[in-house]
Amino acid sequence: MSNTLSSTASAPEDKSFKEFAAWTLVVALPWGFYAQLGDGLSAEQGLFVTLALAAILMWIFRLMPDFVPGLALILFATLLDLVPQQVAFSGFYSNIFFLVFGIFILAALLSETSWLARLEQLLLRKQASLLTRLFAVIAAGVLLTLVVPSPLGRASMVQPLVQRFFKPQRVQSNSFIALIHVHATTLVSTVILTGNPLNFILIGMLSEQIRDRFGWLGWLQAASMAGLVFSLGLVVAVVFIAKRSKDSAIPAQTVASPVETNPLFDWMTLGLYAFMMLAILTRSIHQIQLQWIILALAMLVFFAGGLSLATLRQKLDWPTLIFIATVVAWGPMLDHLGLSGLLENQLKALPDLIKGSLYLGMAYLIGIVFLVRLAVPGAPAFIIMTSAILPFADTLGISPWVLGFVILTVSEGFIWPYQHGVFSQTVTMLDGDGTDYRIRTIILCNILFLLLRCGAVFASIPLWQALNLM
Amino acid sequence: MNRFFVFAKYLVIAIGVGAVLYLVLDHKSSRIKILVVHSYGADMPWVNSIDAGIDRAVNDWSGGKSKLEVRRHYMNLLGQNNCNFYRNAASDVRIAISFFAPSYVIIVDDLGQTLVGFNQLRLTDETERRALAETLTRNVAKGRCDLPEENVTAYFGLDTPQREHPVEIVFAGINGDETVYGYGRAENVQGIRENKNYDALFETIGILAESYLAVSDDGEVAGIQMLNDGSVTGQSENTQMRRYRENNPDAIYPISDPLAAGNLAAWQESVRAANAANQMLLIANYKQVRGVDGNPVPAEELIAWTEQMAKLPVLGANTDFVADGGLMTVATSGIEQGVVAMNKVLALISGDDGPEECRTREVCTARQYLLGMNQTLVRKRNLSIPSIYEAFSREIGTFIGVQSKVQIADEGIE
Repeated sequence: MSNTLSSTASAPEDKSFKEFAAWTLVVALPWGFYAQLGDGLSAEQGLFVTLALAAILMWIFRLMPDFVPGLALILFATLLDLVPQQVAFSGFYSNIFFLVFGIFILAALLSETSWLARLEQLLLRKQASLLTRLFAVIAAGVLLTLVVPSPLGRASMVQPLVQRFFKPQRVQSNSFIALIHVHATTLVSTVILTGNPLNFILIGMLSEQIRDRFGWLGWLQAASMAGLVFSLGLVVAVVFIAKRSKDSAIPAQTVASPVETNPLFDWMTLGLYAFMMLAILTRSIHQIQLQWIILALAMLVFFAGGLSLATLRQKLDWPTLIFIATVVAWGPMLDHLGLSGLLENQLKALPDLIKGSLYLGMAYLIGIVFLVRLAVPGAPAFIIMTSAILPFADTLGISPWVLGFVILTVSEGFIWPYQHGVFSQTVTMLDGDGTDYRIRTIILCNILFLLLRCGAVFASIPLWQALNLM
Repeated sequence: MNRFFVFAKYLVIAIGVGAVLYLVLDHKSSRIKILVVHSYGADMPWVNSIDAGIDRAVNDWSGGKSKLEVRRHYMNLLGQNNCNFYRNAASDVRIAISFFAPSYVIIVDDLGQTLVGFNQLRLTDETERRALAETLTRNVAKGRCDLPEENVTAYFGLDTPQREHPVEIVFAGINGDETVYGYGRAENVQGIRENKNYDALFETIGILAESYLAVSDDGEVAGIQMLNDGSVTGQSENTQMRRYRENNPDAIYPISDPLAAGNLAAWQESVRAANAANQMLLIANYKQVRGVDGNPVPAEELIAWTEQMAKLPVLGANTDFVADGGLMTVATSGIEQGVVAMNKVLALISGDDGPEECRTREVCTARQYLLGMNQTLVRKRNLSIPSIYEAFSREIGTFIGVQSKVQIADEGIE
């Protein structure tokens, strides 16, 4: 009894000390930085960098939802008159905000359909083999990447497809299934514009005149080689795993429970997506920008009564939307304060390396991203690195999109659970269900997938040269 | 009955949405699309003044500016020494043209004419086109990179004329002769030249020289030396100067053959030679002078050094000259370039003949000029300049008053 008491009492205590230490760092480090500031920065610049440093520390220690430090930064930057309100809050009325808002509504709609439940039933009915089932997971993961811009959301949606396959004591097979689940929903997320919230942030950081080029199709074209490498990697992994795990028939007793379906709703949702694709493909004819197409379709959802207010409150990813809006303003804020130039000066070695050899330069860039990602979570790491590295694009003669894509693709890679939400969520789920698996196997394979990401970057260089992007 | 109303509701929604969709598509298709392609970036005063001129013309148009959709594209080619950058920038504009599908393209400054304008021309003679494409490609690559042995014209993409969307080209900011870009041979092109007003420049040189002679005891003004960088624009400026020299044998001071200094050493040598010969320098193009590392020397450093080293007052013939640290400038007005180029587009849209001094489809010459002066440097040289120069510079915002901290390099540039 006393044991139980002491353990329940000590668990929060541990966490509270950690939080205390983290908060101390959040306050003390920027304070120390501000105190020793020299003449290099003006008063406004110094104060902004200090506040940004505090926000970055909050992100690193995960002290609160990601959007809070972002919002706090632009709030204080406005209150202290470091940047005009129009600049600080520019993310909220940028095109990106409306694009993401629309996409999130469409994704919420999709999560209400029963397409995945139907697929699950079909697989059960046909007594699908492990190979078929893993391919179904990949297909669902990749297809969802087209329309659900949240890796975490996709992973939860695909989860029922794999869950029945975890079996007691099949440690290796279970680990592989979890591995495929994690990577099928994350690997191609940077290949398709609408596959990852950070893609929108990258688009937001590009100048107006080249943003058009990286609309939905343009993005896919430039990322196609990476997409090809990723697909090949996934297929090879699945075939390898299916061969290793022989006994994989579904237990006969797991008969599917009937799914409640609303065929009209399902087909209308699919029709809406078909219309979206058509609108994207005919862009040069109607000349309407992607964000307005998406927003119009989202409005159409409400006209037709497709989403109730309750579902909208529950399914729309408001925190991510606000997070994107707050960080899209980083570029304009750094420009306004004249900090972009200073950041450029800090990384002088990169341009020289890339000018010397593209491949070596890329390897160097990948190395930096990997190191930063050891400490900093994905989204803030991406924002910090793109803010520092994108301004070099002009001097290097490389499209800023290419630099952003490389940073994004590598920074979305992960080895340990703390580095990525989908992986940590999966580990939590496996532990919660008491599934037997070996984390070392998954971690080792994660290293291979990280190398696959690097390989995709190098394999894309000839394509980018042919497309006049570098 | 219930099903009927559900169906009817969706039908009503579909009709409403269809009507709005039609309105939007109709509005979008009736817009007249104009793309403005700048060879340089939006951080240059020259580019900003052209943009201001374009806006002024759009706002003054009686045809209704809401019909127009004007987009701008900046190629940012200033100070770029990497051929790959030129290729990518050209490809970016081509993609922008194919996405935006404009009916009119205004191209500003020389580099854009080669990299963007040439492909849009409706040229009939294919052999002639190919020869011209090769010459233009070699001109851009000269001193920057080695071209491939075969298929030279493909290097900057000049081998594939754009025929998908027929466009009307209007050029601005061309120094000298527009026919070098094949513009004389195609129907779908017109524009305004950025020709310098040499008469006004020499009048100002006379004033500066007089003022200089008045304050120096043993001073002498033996002649005028034009000095430019080695860029295509700089060399074309030199050609203009030579023509002026031929036509004006009785200029107030003897005019030497203009010099093109491609690198810093040649530039410094030219300035020293002018000092030794008591010549006044006249500078129009100076942003493509390469330093020891092969990159262009920053304009502020180069002009500050020149101003400090030159024995006689130096006159500029470029909008940015005073902002870059020069004493005085008489430059072509960017506003006029923008206004005239956009008015030419608007005249095509409304089908009128244009103003009397320059009809639609004719090539216009610049008529407006601007002055700029830096009071600190004028005082430093003890010059007395007619007050009208100061008044006018102040009026147009190109006057730099006396500063306590003079921005002159102390040691010179390495």
